[in-house]
Amino acid sequence: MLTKEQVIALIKEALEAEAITESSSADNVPEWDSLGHLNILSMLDTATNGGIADLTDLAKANSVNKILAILASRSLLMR
Amino acid sequence: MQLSITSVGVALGSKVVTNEDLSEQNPDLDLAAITAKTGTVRRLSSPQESALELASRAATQILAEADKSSVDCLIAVTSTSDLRFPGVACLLQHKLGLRTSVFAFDVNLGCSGFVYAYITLGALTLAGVVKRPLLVCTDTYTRFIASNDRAARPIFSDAAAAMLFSPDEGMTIIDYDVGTDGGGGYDLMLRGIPPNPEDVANGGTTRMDLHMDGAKVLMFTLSKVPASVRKVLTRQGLNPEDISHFIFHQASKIVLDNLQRNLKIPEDRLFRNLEKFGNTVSCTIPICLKDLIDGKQLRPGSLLLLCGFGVGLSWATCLIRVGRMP
Repeated sequence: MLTKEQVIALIKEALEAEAITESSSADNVPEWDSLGHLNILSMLDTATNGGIADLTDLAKANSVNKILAILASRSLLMR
Repeated sequence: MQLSITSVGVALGSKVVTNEDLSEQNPDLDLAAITAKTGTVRRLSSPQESALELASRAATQILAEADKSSVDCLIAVTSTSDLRFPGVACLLQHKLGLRTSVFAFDVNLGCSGFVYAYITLGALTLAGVVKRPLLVCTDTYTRFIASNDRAARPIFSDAAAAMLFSPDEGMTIIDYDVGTDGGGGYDLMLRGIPPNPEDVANGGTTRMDLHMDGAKVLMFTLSKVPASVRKVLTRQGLNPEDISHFIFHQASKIVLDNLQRNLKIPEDRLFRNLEKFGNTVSCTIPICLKDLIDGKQLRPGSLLLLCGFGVGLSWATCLIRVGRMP
């Protein structure tokens, strides 16, 4: 399981963005484009040891909040 | 099922497109970042050679030293057929001068197509339906990709690969697993009106375009491929260390890296040649096999695990034991 802070740090690293917060999304982070999103999915897959394999909703989850919600729904996020 | 490779021919797109070329066409592309994730530094396009012509070039290489009158089956794997119909296999039969009694048909699949076709040929030879099959994979995606398509433009290449087989103990299909999820079919599609062959020959524009939802296709890959590979390994009581070479469809670096990590494949067992050729769709696996054969890296007793995945969406895994060197 990941903490919220770990997920945010992961997204920041995946996007090579200067700052990522809970309110970050593809709408307000220039680096969050289609390739950036692939990086996020790839790193989440590694960080969860393949745990996101069936979370198809993540393909369209273009914000930190959406990602956190999906991970929480499958008990991949520590409360 | 026994089906050995006796010879392999490859025809690559004649025009090399480097990162610098892409950069000139798209100045706002961060090529360094894209290359780091896709792993492709050059692509091969064939702006004026159709899928049929590439296929003919690849097949002619190997038929030059074979008795083509003995070829009794021709399968063409392509998702970029020149025409809606007739298929590439029918036109290729005539172009190659094969006998008219040949069992010829197309398989309209992409990146899983070679493995699907190989398993199909294994079954046909086991049933005694065919004895000397010729399998040709051919795809020309680059002409359908917009120059500013950041996801697809950097990775795809055009190529054809032809393989002649014989049903002997040189290679044995030990196990396989296949699957299809058409629910994701529209996430990777070629839509529009096929170009006329003469338009292709003149390098004319096309009214078709490739659509790929990269994130959905990646999630499909992460979901289905490891499970399929594990199913075959578990059934055979094998671990990744028992496999001499994992030959995955060379989709992109990000995909191969994730599959390697997910399946815990030792670095030296995962075959890669993405940098040299890019993603040649149905041809990636046969081109990998040719590289292994030419590099004399196949030994009697080697276990090969092939896995193709993509268009359909579909996937196919196949475990092969090498009996003798092709």
